[in-house]
Amino acid sequence: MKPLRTVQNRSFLMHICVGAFGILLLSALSAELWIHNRALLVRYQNQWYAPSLSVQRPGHFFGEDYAWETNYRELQAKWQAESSSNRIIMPLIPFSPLTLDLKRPPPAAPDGTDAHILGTDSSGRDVLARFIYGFRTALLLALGFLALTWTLGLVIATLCAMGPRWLDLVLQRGIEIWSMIPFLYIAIAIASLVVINKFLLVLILSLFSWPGVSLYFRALILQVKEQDYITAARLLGLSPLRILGFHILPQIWPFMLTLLPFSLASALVTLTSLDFLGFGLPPPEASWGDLLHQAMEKPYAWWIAAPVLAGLFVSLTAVTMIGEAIRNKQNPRQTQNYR
Amino acid sequence: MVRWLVLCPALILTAALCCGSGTLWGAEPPASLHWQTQAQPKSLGSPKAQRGGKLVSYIPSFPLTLRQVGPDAASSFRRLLDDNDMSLLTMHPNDESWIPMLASHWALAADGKTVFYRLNSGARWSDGQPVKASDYLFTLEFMRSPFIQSPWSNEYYTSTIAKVESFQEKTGTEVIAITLTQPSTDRLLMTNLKPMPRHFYGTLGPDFVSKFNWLVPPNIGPYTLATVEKSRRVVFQRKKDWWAKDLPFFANRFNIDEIVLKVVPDIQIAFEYLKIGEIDAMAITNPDLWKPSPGEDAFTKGYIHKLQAYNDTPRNDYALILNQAYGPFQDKRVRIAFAHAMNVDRVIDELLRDGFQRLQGISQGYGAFTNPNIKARKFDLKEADALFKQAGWSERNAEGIRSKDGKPLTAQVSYGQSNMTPRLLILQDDARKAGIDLQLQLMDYGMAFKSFRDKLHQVAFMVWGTPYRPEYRSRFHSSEAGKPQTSNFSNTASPVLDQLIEEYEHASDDRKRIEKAHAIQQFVYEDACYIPLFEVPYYRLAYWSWIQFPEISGAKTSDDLSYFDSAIGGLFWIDAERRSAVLGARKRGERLPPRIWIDESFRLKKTAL
Repeated sequence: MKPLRTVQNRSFLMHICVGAFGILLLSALSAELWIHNRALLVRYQNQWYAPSLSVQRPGHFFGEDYAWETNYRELQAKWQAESSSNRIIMPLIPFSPLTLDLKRPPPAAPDGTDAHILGTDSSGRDVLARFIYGFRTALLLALGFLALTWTLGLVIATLCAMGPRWLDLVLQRGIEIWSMIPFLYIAIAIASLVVINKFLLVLILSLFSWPGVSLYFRALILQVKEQDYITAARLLGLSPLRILGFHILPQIWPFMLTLLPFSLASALVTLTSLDFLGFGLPPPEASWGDLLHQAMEKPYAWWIAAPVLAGLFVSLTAVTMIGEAIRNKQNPRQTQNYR
Repeated sequence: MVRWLVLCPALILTAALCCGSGTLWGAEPPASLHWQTQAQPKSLGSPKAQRGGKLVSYIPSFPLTLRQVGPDAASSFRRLLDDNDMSLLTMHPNDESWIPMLASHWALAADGKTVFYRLNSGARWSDGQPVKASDYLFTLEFMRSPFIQSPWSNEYYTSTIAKVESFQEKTGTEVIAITLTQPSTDRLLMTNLKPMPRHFYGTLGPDFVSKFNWLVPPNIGPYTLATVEKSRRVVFQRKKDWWAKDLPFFANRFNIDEIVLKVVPDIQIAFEYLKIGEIDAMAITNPDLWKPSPGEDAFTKGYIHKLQAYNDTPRNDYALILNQAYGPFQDKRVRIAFAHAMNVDRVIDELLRDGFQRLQGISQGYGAFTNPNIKARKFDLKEADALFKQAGWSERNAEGIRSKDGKPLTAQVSYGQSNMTPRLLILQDDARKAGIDLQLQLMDYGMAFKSFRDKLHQVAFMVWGTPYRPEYRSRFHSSEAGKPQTSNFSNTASPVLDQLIEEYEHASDDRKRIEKAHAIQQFVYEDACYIPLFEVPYYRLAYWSWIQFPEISGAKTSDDLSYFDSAIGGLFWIDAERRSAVLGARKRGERLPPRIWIDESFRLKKTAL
């Protein structure tokens, strides 16, 4: 009974974590609807506008005397004070991750006197906004990283496993040498030479992460390649590409899927670490690593570090739990035993 | 016998030549010289000062070498070593009079280029060797040597100092004469050399850099570098039998026996060390450290005191420097409009608060040399808009950014310190209102400086240190523009400005020089390549309250807790009784009166803007 309880407990914890992760994900993907400095809806001269879903509108557009982007919070207060028939509906948190609010000296702790539920950071930006948008950025970058790393890894693994033996030998030695290059030093060197942007960051990370994936994929392909049905397919004259696409990849896909959540967790941690060290995304980009960096510089500002630490805990646990669940699902012996 | 009569003088002559001393057979100095000195300069120390004790503070990084010249020598640690050396004279920090140090007297020659110094025969190196005239001759040889691998020193000591000669008076006192290549009204300042210990360095060779990397050279100042624990700490100990301890200007100064400097790479961690008593004192000019932290700590309990001391010293040129080689900045109207789009006052009012002021222009705090009529351009979106429109930047794209011929008005600000990001974000925020897409490029500090020198930047966020007199050639002369590895970051190249710089450098008297300095500052203002930012008219310290200061905490030019400097260093002391009382109170959890000391002795009256 004991193993069964363990599995049930794990399953319960997994549901909680997955639930929390799902909420976080949903919050991040719908961020513009509840946390942004642009209004959700504006009724101006009996016309309705949705600034949060459209291009930037200058103040002139709504009858103001300035040409830069409309400050909807101020405009809302003004129209309310004038009892105007014009209306503005703001998101729940009316700040973008870049909005500066210096009414209280930054970093300002959450004290319930304003809309900054989690306070502001060292520059007076809303911590919750930076947390949510930072998560979205990290997640998108992590997915981009996975796509690139897996593509590279799979191509090299296929060349190793399906190509001639000499090619396998050369590529294996090449991978060993490449793996020895210290990633962090290279990242620091590149960051000091050029300004890192999102694309470059994903590219650098992927270039140094594919060898591990490639070795794993190579072993999987080699294992499946020796199966009788593959020999049969080859004898029937099928091309190597067809064998790979229709007979090998479907067979190894479940194992690759098992690896996916762990790779995602690893990418999230690496991206956050690089930002924390100051070699990630340039300012003023919102990121979890940047919040952690600020928290280190101002250790008394607990409200900057707390959301990121909680977010990291939830997302990494959830992703790991999902990974374990997939692995268990792929293990028929375990599934059979506990039924 | 005849052989001995011939051999003895020959041997003596050979020995004299070998040890490089020109004094043995040296001529007497000219009799017409008018010797000057200051017999009783008033010390800045306090008669209440007590000798003894230990002070622990920190350095942000361990030096890469103990050499004071050559590769990797430029660091904050070198300033400590330089301070702990002495030169011929020192300038009184408050009244700018000259005070004898290694020279007891000085005399100005009629040629406008030469200064004679009568050496103090009591001066000693820390290894007990006397400081000789030959050590000054060796300074020139040393600084011009290719083996030290310091191109700046090689160039400066060749282009500025023509020669150093030694003489001997009838009384046996050594005299040196230092001659400049050009006449100068700042002759004393420019000839005020530090001697180099010839007996320590010997003959320089290609192995200089590696041989002397970790050797502690003898020094002349009040402390000696006694312990060097790599990557951990350095310890300076007071010389008990220091040759200069009885000089009037040093009365009641350099009181503490031992100064320990731990390596703490992060200022926030150093601050935490201070609060738990691991270090005794540190500078906390940053507003974040100065403001009270929430809850009770050693400050609120009165164990640690704070000092904010105003000073009156040349201000660092803290500026955004626009590179004229960058397309939009080739148009002066765009540069002026850009200056009007920088909301520096908002940075001060909403972020820095706390006494920061707007810097009005370059060369501030130089007294008569500062042009009082120059005021920084104020944030004015209407003015910026009008100028941008004149320059053809009237269209705005969907993002509200100005564009011309389809190209958006972007400018990348490069900088090397991450704690400057909040300031730049405010500038970025308001620049957007003016239609400028201001992008931030945070770089490693060294790489940022290199990119400025190579003119790879569009806008450089930079702080220039301040020499005793304003210096313009390296930053504004056309000979420094348009090529890599120079300091003309704005790529300014104007024959008019070149002429002004030449006239400033070769002015025959101070009145003309001041006039030219004002004209240069006016030109730079009109050229609008420098956008002056902030100045801090004070420095701030936090210290355990057993560290005591004179009634006036520092000098006019103090900017930190100075341990060794001849002019302003070593004014504080440790009160042993107070130390016991504070530690006892801390153990018992008792409160003591907290103190935030605002010393306004050298506060300048704020000028109306």
